[in-house]
Parts: sequence; C-alpha cells; structure tokens
Amino acid sequence: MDAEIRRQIVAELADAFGEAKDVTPEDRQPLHVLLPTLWIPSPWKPSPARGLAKFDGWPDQRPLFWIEMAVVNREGQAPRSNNPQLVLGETWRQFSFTFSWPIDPLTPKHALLRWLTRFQEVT
Amino acid sequence: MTSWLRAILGVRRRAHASAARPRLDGIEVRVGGAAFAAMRSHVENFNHGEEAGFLLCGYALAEDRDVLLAREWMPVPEQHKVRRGRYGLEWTPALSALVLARADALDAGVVLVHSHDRRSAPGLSGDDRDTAERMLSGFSRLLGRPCGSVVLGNDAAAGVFYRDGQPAGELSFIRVVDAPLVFWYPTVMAKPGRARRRLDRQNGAIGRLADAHLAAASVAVIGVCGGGSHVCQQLAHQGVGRIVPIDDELVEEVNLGRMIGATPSDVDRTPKTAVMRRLISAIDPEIHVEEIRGRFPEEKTLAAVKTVDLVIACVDSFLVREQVNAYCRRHHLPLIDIGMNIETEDEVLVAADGHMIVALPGSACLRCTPLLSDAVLEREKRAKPPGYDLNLDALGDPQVVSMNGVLASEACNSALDVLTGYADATRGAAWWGYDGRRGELTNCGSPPQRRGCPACAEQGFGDSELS
Repeated sequence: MDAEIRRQIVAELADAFGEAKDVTPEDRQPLHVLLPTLWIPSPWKPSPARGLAKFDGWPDQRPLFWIEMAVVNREGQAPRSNNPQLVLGETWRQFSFTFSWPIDPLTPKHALLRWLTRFQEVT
Repeated sequence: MTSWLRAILGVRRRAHASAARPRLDGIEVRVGGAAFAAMRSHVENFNHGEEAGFLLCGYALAEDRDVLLAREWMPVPEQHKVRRGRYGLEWTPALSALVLARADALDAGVVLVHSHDRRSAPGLSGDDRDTAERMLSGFSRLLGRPCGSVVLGNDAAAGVFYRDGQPAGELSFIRVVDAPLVFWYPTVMAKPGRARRRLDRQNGAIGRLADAHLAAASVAVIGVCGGGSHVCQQLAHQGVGRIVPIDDELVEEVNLGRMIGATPSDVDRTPKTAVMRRLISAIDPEIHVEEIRGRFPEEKTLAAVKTVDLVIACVDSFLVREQVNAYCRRHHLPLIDIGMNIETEDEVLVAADGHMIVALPGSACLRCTPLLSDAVLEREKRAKPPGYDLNLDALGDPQVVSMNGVLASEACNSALDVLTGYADATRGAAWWGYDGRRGELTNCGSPPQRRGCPACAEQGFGDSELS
C-alpha cells in the first residue's frame, strides 16, 4: 500500500469518526489506524471509546477492528464473542463476528460502519 | 539550545502517559547482545581519541523501574567531530539536531554513550555531567522520554538521566540480553557468598557463580499444565529465585494425565497456578512464587511478564504464542517456547512433532518462520474463534506427559544457559525439533530474521503509547 493510499484512508476515517492517527510501527507493515474517539452503540460504554483498525491487503481483504478493553454494558459486563488480543503492545477486544466482503461502497468508512452495525447486532 | 532546535526541527514537546507518573530513581538500559557489542567496539576504540554515540530507546515501566530499550545506535561519525584530544569529544550542532529528529521520528529517548577506558568503577566526569545537563535534559523535555548519559567501564557502567528536563536518577544497570544475560552495574559486583547446599551437585557441574545468578533470576512460565508444570518443577530444583506461573484455569480431571503436581483432590477446585505454588514451595520454600491467575494478554499478565528476566511459553495456541512473542520483542525479553503437535488415526499415533525455540533480541523470532505464518494463524482463527475454549464439548488436543517432559527439560537447559551461560555460547538462540515417536531431538540452529516480520518491526518499542 503506497503512502498516498495510507494517507487517504487515515483522512477519510478522521473525517468520518472525528480523529484518526496512523500508528503503523514501520513502513513495511500493514496500515494501523488508531481511532481515539469512536462512537460505540448503546448500551456499551464508554462512548466514544478508542478503536484500532488494521488494513492488511486493502481493498481485497476485510480490515480488522478492535475496541478498547474498557468497553462494558450498564452491568459492567464485557460484550460477547470477544477475546483479549495484544496489538501494538496493548490489549484490545477482538470479536469473532464478521461481515460479507466486499461491501458497496468499498470505502474504509463504510467498512467500519458495517463492523459497528454487526457489533450492535451480535453483542 | 532546545528552543533553536525546536524551531529548526519543528519538534513539539510531547506528552506521554509516562510523563505523568511520579519520579522514580534508577533507570535500566536494556540492549541485545549484538547491539551492545557494536556499541562497545565503537566507544572502546581509543585509537583516535575518545568516541561516543547515541542510543535511541523505547520506554517501558516495569513494576517500579523505568526501562530504556535500545532500538537504534547512532555513533558520532567522523565528519561531525569538531574537536578531539585524548580526553573529550565534541560534535556539531547539526548532529545533535539529526539525533533529536531521529529520536522524535522513532518516539524514542536518547542515551549518550561513551567509555572511560575500562575502569572498574566508571563515573561521569564534570564535563560529562555538564553535557548531559545542557543537552540531554533538553532532549528529555522535547521528546517526553527519559534521556541520559552513560559511561562504560570494565564490566561496569554509570550514568545520569533526565525526565521532562529534571534529574530522574542514576543508571541502575545495563542489562545485556543474550545467552547469558549480563548486568553491568555502576561497580563490578562482589563475588557471591556461600552457595546453597541443596544445589551442591549442580554447582559442581556448572559452578558456584551460577548459583548466585539463579538465585537472583526471575522467570515467567505462561501456561502451567502439560509442559509448564514440568518447567516450574525443574526451575525450582535448579534454584531460580522467583518464579511467576501464569494460567487462568482450574485443574480438570483430564489434566491429571499430564500435569505435574496435580492430584485428584485438586480437580475442579484448585487453580493450576496454586498447584505450582505448592509444588515449588515444597521443593524450596525460599523461592518467591508470584501466582498470576489470568490469561495472556490480560493486563495483569502483561505487567507481570515485564518484570522477569526470562519468559517460557508453554501454550497450546498459535495465536497466543504470536502475542507472547510480540510482547517479548517489544520489551527485549528472552523467550523460550515449547510446543507439541500429536496426530492420530483411529487412536493410533502417527506423528508427534515438537519444537523448542530460544529467541533473543537480534535473532529470529517465532514470527520470522513458518511456525507462526499468516496461514497458520488464519487457520487457527477459523478453527478456534474467540470463546472456543469455553466450550466444554470441544475436544482437547492429544498429549503425552513424557513427550512434554522431554521438551520441558530441554527448555530448562536453555533457561540455565540464558541465566548462567553454562553452555559457553554453544547453545544461545536456536531451534530444536523433536520427534516423539523416534525419540530424536535435533538442534536446527538459528534461522535468519525475516525482513518484514511484524513482531521484529516492534522490537524495543516497549509500552504501548496509543493512549
């Protein structure tokens, strides 16, 4: 993925979700984008929460998404179907649910919206 | 000085989570063996007068200790030297600017390193301290990372550090992560006192000094059932001073066929880590056992792993193995990994393949090779999605206690090598293959590091700064 495509993805996510930062550990690695203020559907809190996206093989491959470990419901319970996973030195929640690929329109913003929709349906 | 550098480079003062923590005295510098050797060969060459260089470092907070993790070495190049005599070296402001810019790009701290001609108790001179205060305190404020100056002597090192422009304490020690682990304190450590009587036979084999190294050592064992329980038992017999068993499960009936120390009365009631505490304490009540009842990478397990000298992974998942490997890379932690894969057809064993891997900074890691290829990880993700292991009807992988024991014993030989250097550099980082059917254990050497390896890309990064 060339630098311009990386820049476009980060800019599009920042535009849609408030803030986005390229946190890729080195140039040869797939693009990692930190989303510090990601809206999480009710009843989950905190919202906004921190999210992390990884674009490996974009746009042929579905991006991967994680949310911060602090996200719980009103009773303090964690969402279902998740595992703690270490990514970039920090523990995140990874979910087993998925969504069909490719999507239409095929944009980073719509990929994340689709993931958030599935998150709301499944959890 | 810092204002003009900031103006030239456009470096803005950074705020890191670490900056808000209370000031702690004493800083560890952690560096891989090959990197340390390269550093020494430069600064200990006095043919043309004093030499120096800049070590750019990631940061971690390990319990009560600040740790700077070597990432990149920038020796002062000839064209940037402006004055040199028998004592002292100065460099151009342009080099200082280059170092600051590079450290900023890496999100790293800066340690200025030079040598005082192999003195047994080195110390920073007045000039050294002036330079540190003038330049490195400013760097620490700009970079939001501890920065300092270190002088090497003869198996000893001293240094001073700054955080946010303020004094942050002296160098506690340099940890050289290799086989063996080596520690350079401000003065050469005194010879050890009386060795432990119970280790008399082992000391006869590998020396009394090994006893002292082992007593001071701490080892985390991640997963303490089939392989890890053997490992804990042997580490205790070997005399390791602090053992950190990590596991989140209770003993189950099916564990009794392979878990050392577990008894029928433990089934469904005793945490596996508690069985390890009992086992280890029965061998030597002096050993400090720190049970961590959790699953890697829960935060308490990460915090515990950061505090040890060596990690031994005995997990049955490639995905967890990948994460342990990545974490060890980030923190320059030596990692020993064991695993066994048994295949059967109609209850007849057709393959019993195992591995034992020692990964050190600068050597190939687990992710550099096909053991943890993308395909392997993807296959496990599909076969064992999150929550899979909570399904009580899921079939467990076949295992044989004696085969686990072979790998665990060899892992403990490597642990002994990393902690004491008994093998005199004949082991070190390498891969061993095991065929449990034929009874063959083969040293396959160390493969090269893979260009583009995602775990090696994070080597020395330390704590996450994504917050």
